[in-house]
Amino acid sequence: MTSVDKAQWIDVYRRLEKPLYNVVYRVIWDSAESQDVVQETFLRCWRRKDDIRADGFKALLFRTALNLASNRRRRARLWRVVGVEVLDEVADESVSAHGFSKPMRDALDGLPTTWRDVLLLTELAGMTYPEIAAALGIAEGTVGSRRTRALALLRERLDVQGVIA
Amino acid sequence: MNTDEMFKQLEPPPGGAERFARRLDEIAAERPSPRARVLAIAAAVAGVAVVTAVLLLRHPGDAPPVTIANERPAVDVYNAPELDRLLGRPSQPAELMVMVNMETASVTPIQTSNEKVRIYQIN
Repeated sequence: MTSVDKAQWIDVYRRLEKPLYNVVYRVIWDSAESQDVVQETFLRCWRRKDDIRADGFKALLFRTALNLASNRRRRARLWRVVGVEVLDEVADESVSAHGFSKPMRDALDGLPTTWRDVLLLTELAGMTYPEIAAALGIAEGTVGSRRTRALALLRERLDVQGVIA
Repeated sequence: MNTDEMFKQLEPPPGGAERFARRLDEIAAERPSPRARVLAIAAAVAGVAVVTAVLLLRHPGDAPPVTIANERPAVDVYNAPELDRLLGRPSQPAELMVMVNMETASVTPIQTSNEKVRIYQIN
């Protein structure tokens, strides 16, 4: 991607902001923070743009976004433990900015991270199984099996909490 | 029974691309961030404070007598001029080695009027 200029980069941002935002939002549940993570993802990739292969670009973007989102969420929890709030109080609110109730958020948060990441990418990123496999560094078959198990566990937890009737 | 509600497509806050363009302009300058500068200054101040504290708290009389090994140490750091100064022994001349593009380059000393200054020409 050696010839990518700023205008092209912003155009790519416009096309991929929404799927990235949707994935990141389901990790940190904060609208402004999620958009910030998406932008940080693009800025990091921009700094390395000369080394990025075009065929692996989407996978790199989503993997970077998931890592950044997880780090930010971990940091927010750490600060919360020591009594300093860095994110909005959304995690403790009953309903998030986009209308997700706490039981819904808890159900997704409660999934094993490796399953959750697969589920977010299959359901929200518009990526193929090979792309997801490349992004997460797993086999294509594993993508399908993790998605199936994650969906089953998610439905079970939502049922238990009475979120889905 | 479905999870459609969980995975409905959300709209990001408006103005994201414009804000991203501004951030892109900012990093184009590639200057260190204010936070990085503050951290660097804090680290430097902390380093100076530690060295100062160590020097002030040292009591030369309490220190055990320094014994200098007669054998040539196996580790290069024992030949460092800083250690020579700490131990109060004359500096040992050290071989100068210059690497250019990961290869050793030969050097030629150039005469100077100040005996504390050495100038070398890289060949």
